[in-house]
Amino acid sequence: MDVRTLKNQIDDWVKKQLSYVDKSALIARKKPKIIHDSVHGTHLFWPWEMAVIDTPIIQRLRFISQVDLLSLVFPSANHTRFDHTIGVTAMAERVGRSLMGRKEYKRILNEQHIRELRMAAILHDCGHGFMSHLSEHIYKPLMKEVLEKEPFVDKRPHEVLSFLIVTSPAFKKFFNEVVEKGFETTYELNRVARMIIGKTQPKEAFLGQIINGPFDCDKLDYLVRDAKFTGLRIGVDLDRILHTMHLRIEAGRTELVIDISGAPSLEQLYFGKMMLNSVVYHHHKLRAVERMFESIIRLIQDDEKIDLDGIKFKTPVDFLRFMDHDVLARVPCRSDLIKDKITQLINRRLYKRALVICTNSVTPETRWYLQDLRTAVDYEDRKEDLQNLIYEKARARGVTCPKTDIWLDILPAPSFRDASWAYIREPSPDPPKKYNYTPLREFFPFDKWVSAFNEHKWRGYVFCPPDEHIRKKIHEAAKEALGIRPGLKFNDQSFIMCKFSET
Amino acid sequence: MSPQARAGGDVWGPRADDVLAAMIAYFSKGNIPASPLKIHKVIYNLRTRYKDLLGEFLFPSNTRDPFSKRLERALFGLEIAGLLGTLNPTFEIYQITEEAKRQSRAIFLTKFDSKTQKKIKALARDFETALCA
Repeated sequence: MDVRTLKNQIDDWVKKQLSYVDKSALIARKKPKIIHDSVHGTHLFWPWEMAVIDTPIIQRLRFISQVDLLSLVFPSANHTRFDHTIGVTAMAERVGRSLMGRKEYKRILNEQHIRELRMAAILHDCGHGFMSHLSEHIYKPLMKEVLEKEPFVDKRPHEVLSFLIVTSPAFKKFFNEVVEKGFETTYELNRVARMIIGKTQPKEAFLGQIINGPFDCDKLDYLVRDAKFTGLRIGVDLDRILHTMHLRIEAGRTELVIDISGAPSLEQLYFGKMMLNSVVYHHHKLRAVERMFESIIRLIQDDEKIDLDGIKFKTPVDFLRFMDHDVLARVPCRSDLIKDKITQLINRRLYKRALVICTNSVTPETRWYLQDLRTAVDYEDRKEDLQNLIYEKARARGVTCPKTDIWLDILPAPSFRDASWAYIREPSPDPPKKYNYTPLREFFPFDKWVSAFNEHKWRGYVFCPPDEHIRKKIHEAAKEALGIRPGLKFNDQSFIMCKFSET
Repeated sequence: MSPQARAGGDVWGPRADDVLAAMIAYFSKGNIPASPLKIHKVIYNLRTRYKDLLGEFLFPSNTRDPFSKRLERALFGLEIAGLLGTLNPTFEIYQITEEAKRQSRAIFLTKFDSKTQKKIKALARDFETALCA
């Protein structure tokens, strides 16, 4: 899909969302609103901010889970994108005020910047579809062409959708009529949108970095929030990070950096991210649940007879049309196969591991082929080829379950780009130069340390229905298939790690 | 099993990740710096000259240092497969064993025709020179 088509579809969607809004009622609100957040405490929202928050574009985030179906694995993880949005706004205010409170930055940051940072935080996740990153993973291939063009290269698809929503003619019109004219405020809405994708002008690059950068407010909120609601104990010293943030003003660029005294807190933040990846986001049961849900959407996409209210999920915008409960509640009416899958999901009769692929479960002589296997994350056709081969071998062993019940799932590589982009400020030994700036990883190559950790934690799985008899057959089928392509041979660990009940 | 039989058609034909894996076969040194900053910068600079080989690695504009998520993932893949060894005491160099070079030649270089192999050889030399300078 090209950018123009996507823009038009987004504009139509925004128009529809805003058609439900009573603008005069939004403008009539004169008092700020106090919202209590369980992570960051009590915060004040201005009436014009509430006018945006009260639109369906943001309210829908109340019904989109922060981490898709995580509550099936960590029962208390029921927090939503809306909670996170409130938290990011609170953090954006704190970061902005912390910088503005310093004498040396008084001329760089002003109240308008704070207002815009808050608005960018409010809108930063409005492009999330149902089940957050899970649906994003499904529609990402539909946006391939868009994601290869600036300013969207290396951006996450939902960030691009958020940007396109905020820059759509329909949203701009609403914003101008309600927020700016209705409350006599001024914003540079294009700058707000640029903050969301972390691409503000070089002279104010720090504004984009506060919302979408190496230690942005998004990260400062979600790491703490996800840890809190899953019960994972990680330490993040938010206060120290805030107190040690500074600006680097050099060669026409103004960037967010952290003082050397805050470096350990930043390392702590990234270690927290590593633990969340390892313990929560990459938990094998969550991956299994996600593939089960993905199979439902794939069935709707591929089967001409099935749709959800006429929607086939053929464009990214289709994923914005629903909230989590819509999909879980409405799909069952459409097909017996999907009905069964939803029932199994809700009753927690989940997929199980039929094969575990990792550096310990393959023979040393064939470990080299893991390179080919890993590329299946980036090349959908390679993944599909392997899944087809596994299915073919499973059929030959008498397995009759549908093709959409056998999944090859490969964990993505952890990204530590932030560690390279996070610059540390330290006093310069060569006056009159005041400071030197060095990437965090040059102080301590912890990203490589973490990478080594992840090398041992990295997994590929073959998931299938939980029936032991079928699972064992698929175990053998997958080993045979992956022995042909990419050429892996497995040891006993590949069986032991699946935890078959009758071993 | 021949690479062609193992590969299963065009799907497993050469891609950007395979170029990186094949370059290892031509490295003259036993180790190279493991700094992502340096590697991404070198690949970014070589990308213009070797567009057909490295074009899939996209680099966002408007950043102080070039960095490609795709390249990061590809390097991680080489680490998992043991083609780039990282378990040296300081994690600051990638160790490239003779066995890794042999496997790179046998598994990945054979995906390319002889003309492209020559290009990869030149790319590997330029990469090594720039990275170790």
